[in-house]
Amino acid sequence: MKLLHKIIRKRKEAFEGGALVLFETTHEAMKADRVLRDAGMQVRLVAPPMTLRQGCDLAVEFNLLERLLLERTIERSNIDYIAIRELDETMPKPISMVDITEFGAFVMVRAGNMKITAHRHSGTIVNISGGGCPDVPFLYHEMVGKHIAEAPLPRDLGYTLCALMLDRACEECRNMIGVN
Amino acid sequence: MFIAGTVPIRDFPVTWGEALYENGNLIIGDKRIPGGMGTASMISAAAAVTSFLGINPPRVLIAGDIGNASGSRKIYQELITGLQQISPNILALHYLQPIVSVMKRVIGAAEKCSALPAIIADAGSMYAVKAAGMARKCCYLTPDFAELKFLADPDAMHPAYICNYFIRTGTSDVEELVNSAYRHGNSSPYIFVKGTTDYIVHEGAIVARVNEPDIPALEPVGGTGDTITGLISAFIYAGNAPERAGYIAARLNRMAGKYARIQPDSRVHHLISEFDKILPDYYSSWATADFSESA
Repeated sequence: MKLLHKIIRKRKEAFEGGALVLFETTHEAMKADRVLRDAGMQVRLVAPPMTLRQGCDLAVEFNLLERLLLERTIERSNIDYIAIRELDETMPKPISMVDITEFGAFVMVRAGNMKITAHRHSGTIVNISGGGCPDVPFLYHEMVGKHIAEAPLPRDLGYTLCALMLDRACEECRNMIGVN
Repeated sequence: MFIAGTVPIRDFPVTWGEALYENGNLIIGDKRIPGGMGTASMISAAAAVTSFLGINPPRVLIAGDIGNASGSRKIYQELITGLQQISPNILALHYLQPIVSVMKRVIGAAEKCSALPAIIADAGSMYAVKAAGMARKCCYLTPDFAELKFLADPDAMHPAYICNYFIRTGTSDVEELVNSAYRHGNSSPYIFVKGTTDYIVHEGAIVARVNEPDIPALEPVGGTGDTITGLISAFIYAGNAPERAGYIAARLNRMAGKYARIQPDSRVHHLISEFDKILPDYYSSWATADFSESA
């Protein structure tokens, strides 16, 4: 029994919520819970607070850091959801501002803690810097050296908020290069 | 000196061992990986210093992680169970998925060591210790300017989520950000702020500013901040005071940028490969220079 308690406590300690995904029906919520668990995510079914109830009384709580992975997994499984809401509505939204620095033939675009640099004329991504989540070095190796129109998008390969920031910087960089 | 973090190689196994930097590669036991991949940049920089000084190379713990936290969780678990036995004097933590609950357990494991290691946290590890409210347990955090805003914002749990007040803060407000980070207990005793000017801060007071040589192209090159953290770790390990270690790291990283003629499309290994050429000429003078006036 002690061992069981220990295991349960361990699992509870490991779970980090922070955000809810809201569904129209309980079926969708449960289906999403299963799909997300199968994908290796730590999630739990919860009743959303009254202020966040938009549909059914079940929501999936997940680690806000894994928002990109969650969205991708749910969409690939053709599960409809209403919205994603942070548990604390007063929490600031992800940074949307980007700023741009010119380095001669190169342009660096920064969103939050992430920066992407491309050659303005060739359109080649020459560097990615900043950030701290483990998908940042992975995205570096998947994207750098490729044309910005052909490189994979951080939103498709990444998992974390750093990837989300890089995606925003990448979007702006694509605009500047004339890809979008 | 013990360094732990992930490398962006899918399914790369949990690997322990002493690390050597050789011709752009990091060699750990029978494994060889490029010296510029994730935590490998930080380890390579530290290994270049230990090799020059003739002291023990860094001992490391790495695992593959492409962002799904698989390797990070393995490293956290290894640290939780194995740290007390290793009891390193310096523990440098790097690219790890920020998971607050397990980071708390890692810090708990560090507190059970024979003496509390000097914990130096960068990247995801820094995010995790701050979000866990455990920054004061560390010796050094090494944010860039955007990450300093994250430390300054008492409610932020990731640099992507900071309140508008801090988003609008400009680079001229470093002292305000530093003060906020310290006031809310979200900074270690020492922090190194990487930027156009590098700031070395002790308990809220700027003790050194380094802005020469000015190499703007260092900023876009991925890994050039990681090297600073590796250098700081190694210089403390060599016996330098933390503020001195920060000062030497700033000077060396910038000088290497100059020697390597770093451009926005350069690679971090261009920088690392300059360290052993610069150190013989400059280390002694940097190790004794009076930098108090720069503050």
